[in-house]
Amino acid sequence: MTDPVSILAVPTLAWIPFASPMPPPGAWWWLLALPLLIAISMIWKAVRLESLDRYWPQVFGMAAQLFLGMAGLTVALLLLVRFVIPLLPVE
Amino acid sequence: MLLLSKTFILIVIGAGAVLVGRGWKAYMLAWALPGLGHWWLGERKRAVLIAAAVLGLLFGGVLIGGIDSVDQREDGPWFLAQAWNGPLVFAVDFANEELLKKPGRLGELMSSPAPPKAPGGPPTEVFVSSLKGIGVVNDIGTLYIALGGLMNLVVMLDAASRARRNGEEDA
Repeated sequence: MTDPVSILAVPTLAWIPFASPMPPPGAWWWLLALPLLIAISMIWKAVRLESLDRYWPQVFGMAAQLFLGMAGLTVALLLLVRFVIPLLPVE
Repeated sequence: MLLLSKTFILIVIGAGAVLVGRGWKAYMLAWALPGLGHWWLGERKRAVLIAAAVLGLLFGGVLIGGIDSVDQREDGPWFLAQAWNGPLVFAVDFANEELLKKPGRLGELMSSPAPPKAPGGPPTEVFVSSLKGIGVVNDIGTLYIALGGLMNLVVMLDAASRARRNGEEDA
């Protein structure tokens, strides 16, 4: 019988690109948001801009805004969970 | 579930083509291959940028999460968003069914960690592929492809709108 640990270990032992999931990036998983935000910004700006002359500055500007927005939400939730919620009365 | 079946999703996409009216060709071309609708309208640079981004999200998602990131049977609600990427995502789902869920193709089928008939476990013994994604990377891959699909819906509607405007100018 296969134990659960061996199933968890398989992706890190032999990664077959496009077939199995990539090895877990550990603490750096959030960096995977960057290509996602850039691609979303590329699509949105390609659709919305009348002229594509200043396309790339617009794309990176939007991606930076999205990233900062997400980072801000992260900090706000962190403050709420770590500092505000513990102040609430138990009863 | 009927609402999440491939047939129903294809009917929804087809119904969209009817609703957009005169821009239906650009709409369907944009679904057939991201960017193709704009290419057909003569917006070549826009088309290349759209194709690079949408296909980048699709192939990036499969690279990160494996082909198990697209699974109409087990992740139906996610597939509802992913389906807007076009036939390519249906091909990835087919590859998932054929390569990972059938024995002897890719990887091997292993007994599920949850013992049968245990509380919260499956009613009978379940076999899963050794390449099945069960970690956060699989979730991220699924998210990439789903967001790519929803963004391609925006592209499809834009292509239809531009086609209608071009038609009005020509008339």
